[in-house]
This record gives sequence, structure tokens and C-alpha cells, in this order.
Amino acid sequence: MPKRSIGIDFNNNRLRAVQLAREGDRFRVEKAWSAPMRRQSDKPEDLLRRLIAEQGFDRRAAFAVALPHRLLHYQYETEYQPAPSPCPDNLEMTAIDESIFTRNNDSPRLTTCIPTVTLDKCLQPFKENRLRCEIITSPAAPLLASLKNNRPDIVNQPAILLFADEKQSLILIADMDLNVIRIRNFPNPRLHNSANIDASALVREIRLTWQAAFHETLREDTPMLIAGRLADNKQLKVILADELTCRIVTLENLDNLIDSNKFSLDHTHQIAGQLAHMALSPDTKNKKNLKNRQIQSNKPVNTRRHLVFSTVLTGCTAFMYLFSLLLNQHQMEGRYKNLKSQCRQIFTQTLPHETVIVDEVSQMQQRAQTLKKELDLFGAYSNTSCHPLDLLVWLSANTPADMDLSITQCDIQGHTIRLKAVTTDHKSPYRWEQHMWNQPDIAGVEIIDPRRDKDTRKVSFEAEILFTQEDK
Amino acid sequence: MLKGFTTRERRLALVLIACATIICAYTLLIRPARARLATLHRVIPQKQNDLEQLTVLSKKVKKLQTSLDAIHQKILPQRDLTVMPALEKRLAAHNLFEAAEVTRQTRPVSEDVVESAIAIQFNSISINDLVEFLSDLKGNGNPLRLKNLHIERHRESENLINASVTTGYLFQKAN
Repeated sequence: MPKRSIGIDFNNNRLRAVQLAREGDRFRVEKAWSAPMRRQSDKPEDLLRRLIAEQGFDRRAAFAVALPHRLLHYQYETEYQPAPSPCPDNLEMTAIDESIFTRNNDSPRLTTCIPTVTLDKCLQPFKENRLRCEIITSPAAPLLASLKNNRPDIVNQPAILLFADEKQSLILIADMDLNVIRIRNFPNPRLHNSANIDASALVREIRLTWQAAFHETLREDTPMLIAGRLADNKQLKVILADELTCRIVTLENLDNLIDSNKFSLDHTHQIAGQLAHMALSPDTKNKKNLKNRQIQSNKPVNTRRHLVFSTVLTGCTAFMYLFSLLLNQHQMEGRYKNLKSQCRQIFTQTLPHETVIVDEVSQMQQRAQTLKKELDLFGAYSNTSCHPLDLLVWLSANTPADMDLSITQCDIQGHTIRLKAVTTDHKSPYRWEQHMWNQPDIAGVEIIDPRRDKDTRKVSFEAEILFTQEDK
Repeated sequence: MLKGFTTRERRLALVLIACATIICAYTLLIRPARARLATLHRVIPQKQNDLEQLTVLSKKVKKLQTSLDAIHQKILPQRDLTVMPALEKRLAAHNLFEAAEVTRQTRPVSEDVVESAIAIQFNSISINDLVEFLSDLKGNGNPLRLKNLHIERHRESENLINASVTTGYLFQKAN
């Protein structure tokens, strides 16, 4: 059983809302609000948003909605006469008050219906605002419920229920079992001025509606229950009592209300208040006619909670990103410092006398070039240069006798041996070259200009052997 | 907090505060950190490369310095007047005095070092005599360093050679 409900009345170009809370067996009016819907900018979805966001109505409460009277169609049928379709273009219709208007077999059947497309359009603002709309009905249903709840004394006789305010009147004719069998709605713009009231049109409409319902003139002492804003208009009551010879009874607002200093229901909020009461009442639990159609909005989402959760999640993500960014920067800085100190350490160890350090690599390269130049000046005196005697011994050892090679001239300087040799065939020089290549520390061997001498028939050639820059 | 404001104004204020916080965090923290990280990503590989180059260069410089130090240790403080007599004595000891023709030349190597180069021309000697003489010359205690060697087979005899040996030593230039 819901603890809180909101009744919404869209009639008379206004939105009227009442929030009712259950406290034990009694009810408390928590909030009441109304807003005009005349302008195009007064869209129902915006008004509902304002209702929740600005007026503080509980979005989790069950909503009961009375649709504007102008959108509804009433089908009347008797046992022998099927009801004519109110819509000529065969629109798909949805009956909305079937379960509310109970009836017996003798009564004419009254069905309130609305084009399905229009009904879905009316429910769309609730879907957009994720509000739980449980009851959707005509304005007649809450008035009838109010009559049944507040005036159980009016039984076993037909009654007229009049809901009147400045702009329009709603006439309900109920049979002996208090089933509504005829509804009539018409505008009455001159009723609002109490000084110069013209109730003739209203009187005429009541008579005609009664006539249409029972096919007879209005009986005397028929109870007429007046609700709405003009329920307190004594002049109107006198006129109606005189003209129609009816027993005028004011239909009071909800009973069982806890006194609330903040909000009290006036007659303009009567339909909205009764709607909220219907949503809370256990009697109407089985009358929540929207459940079967599955057109109620989804379970309301706690936007604030989601917003807070999203904000916290986003904040955590941002914090983690920032933290990882700064941590990464810290690690990279450490790595860079380490590399820098290693470079500096190597430089200072190698060149301890250097005091001005700008670019370690360039300065080190410069120093290496200077040393190399200085070393080149001394040439053969360096330890890295080969001793000519060692090269001569090496050459002698690596020229096997079976190669038939006779060296005629040899020049040894630095790391190079240049020689002239004589052999008997062309193969020997290249065999010797191949042999040299297989020796360690050889940087290069080249045979230059091998030629056979015409007179001696011997092959002479020149060769150059280059050693690596290591000590020999 | 924010009492006296409507819900809309409170929300607007919160959104503005959030935006300002985000902008400040981005301007003061994220953007400088990202820029610094980009710089570090660019600089660290360069520094790594520098370190490798420095390691190689350091070894090279140390080696060159060691060689140069070794040469400097061999530089005599002044001209050695005993070198030529000692050389002639060695030639005589190897029976090469007659076959050798010795010439001496002095040239500056650097600002404060002078080289005394001695060229010996051998005519018609055996290769064994030459090797023995050069081995003797290479021995310890001799300031002379063999610079280059040129050997040519004798035209008339296969067992004889003509050889040219260049040797020398370094000494400090007299001030």
C-alpha cells in the first residue's frame, strides 16, 4: 500500500496538484500547487518538472491523473441499443473508467474512452520525467468517489452531482445505486461574478441532462451535490434550489484529513485531492487501470543519487589520472636525474681537471681528438704502433716455403707492410693472400698488378698488408 | 552551504565551481605535467645515448692518455750525446760498421719536444745480421726506437740484402 500519492488535475486550462500522505488511517495534505496551462510554453512535461524540482513534490509517489474533459468521449448504451462510436474516423479507443463506474444490468452503460494515441500523448510527460502514473481517469471518477466516501446518506435515489467553477460546469447524473449514467460538460463564463450571476444556462443544462438520462422531468427534492469553486456561492445555491426544486447539498472535500497548518484544500483542488486519495485508498488498489496496459512509466530513477554517483566516479577517475600522471612524471624525473649523474660521474672521472662542463659528450669528443692529434705527432714512438722487426718476423713466419714465393723488396712502416715478390705461377700470390686473410690482426691484404716477366717467365706482383692498430 | 539561493542557482553555482576546478587543475597541474612528460620522453633516450657515447669515449680517452703518458715517459730531458757512439759501438759489435752509412737529422715534433732521427743504410749484408742488429737495438735501456725498415734483395747475390733502417729518440727542447 503506497504511503504517499499525488493527484494531478489537468482540467480548466490549469494543472492542479495535491500530494497526500497516509499516516495510519488518516491522510495529510503535504503539498498543493496549481499553474496555468494557457500558453504554448506551459507544456505539461515542463510543469511536471517544476512540480518535482521547484515545488518539492515526491517523484517516487504514485500519480493519479484526471485527463482534460475535452479529450474524453462518453459512450452511452442500453441493453437494446449499442453505443454509437463517438469518433467517425474509427480511431483506436481506450476505455479508462470501465472498472470505476460500477453498474448493474438495468442501468444504461456509460463508458469513458479516449483515443489511444491521445492517451499515450498524455502519458508521455510522465514517462519523460520518469514518474509512476498509476491511475488515469476522467474528472467524473474522483467526484463520484468523493460522493460515495463523503455522503453515504444519499442512497436509493438518483442524484445530480454538479462540479462548477468560473469557466465550466460538469454535470453528473447518478442512478439509485450511485452509478453515473450521464455526464455533461459545458462552459459557463458568467457564473464567476457573484454580483450578477446568470444561472439560467446551468439550470437548463441540468434539466436537459436529467431528461436525457431518465426520459422524464426532474423530480422534486432530488439531491443535488455541488462541488468545486462555486460550492460556496450561496446565491447560486438559492437560484438552483428555487429553479430546480432540488435539495442542495455541498459536497465537502476529503474527510479523514489531519489538520495541516501549511496546506489546506480548497474546492479548486477537490478533484486533485480526491485523485490522490483514490491512489492511496485500498479500495482502489484493484482499480489501478494502467497496470494492465503497461503504459506506466518505468520505476522512477533517483537522479540525484545517480548524479552524485557519477560525480564521485568521475572525480575518482580524474584523481587517479592525475595521480598516475604525477607519479609517472616523478619516476621519469628520477630516471633522468640518474642518467645525468652517471654522465657527469663518467666525465669527471675521465677528465678530472675540467671545471666548466657544458656538454659532456662534445667536450669528451674534443678531448679525444686533441689527444689523438697529439699522439699522431709522435707516430712510431707510440705503444700502439707496430715494431718493424716484429712485423718482419711475422711476415717471415707466415710465408710458407711451399708457396714458392720469393720476396724481393719489403718496406715496413707503422702498421703497413709493402712488398714486391716473385713466384712461378699466378696461383701462388692469391693462395698467399688467402693465407694472410686467415691470420689474426689483419685489417687488409691486397695483391697489386701481378704480371709474368717475358724473359724469366716468372710472375712478379706487389702486395700491401695492413694490420689492426694493436701492439705487435 | 549556499543558503538563500534557489535550487537552480545552487546547481548553477556548483557547475561553475566544478568547471573552474577542472580548468584550474588542467592549467596548473595537468598541462605542465603533460608538457614535462613529453620533454622527458624526448630527452631521456638522448641522455641514454649520451651515456653510451660517453662510456665509449671515456675508454678511448683513457687509452689515448695512457699511450701519451707512456710516450712522455720515454722523452729524454735533453739531447743524449751518448747515443751515436753507442750506436757505432753496436754496429761494430755486429761487424756492420763498414757496411753501414749513418746519417742524423733533428726536427721539432711539438713546441717543447724535438726528435733526433738516425737513418742507417746497410749495403750487402745478410738478413740474419740485420735481424740480430735490430734485436739488439730493440733491447732494454736503449732510447732509440725503430721507426721503419726497408729491405731490398741484392741484385747479384740472393743471400745478401740492402736495408735502410730509420730510428730515433725524443728529447725536451732546451729553453
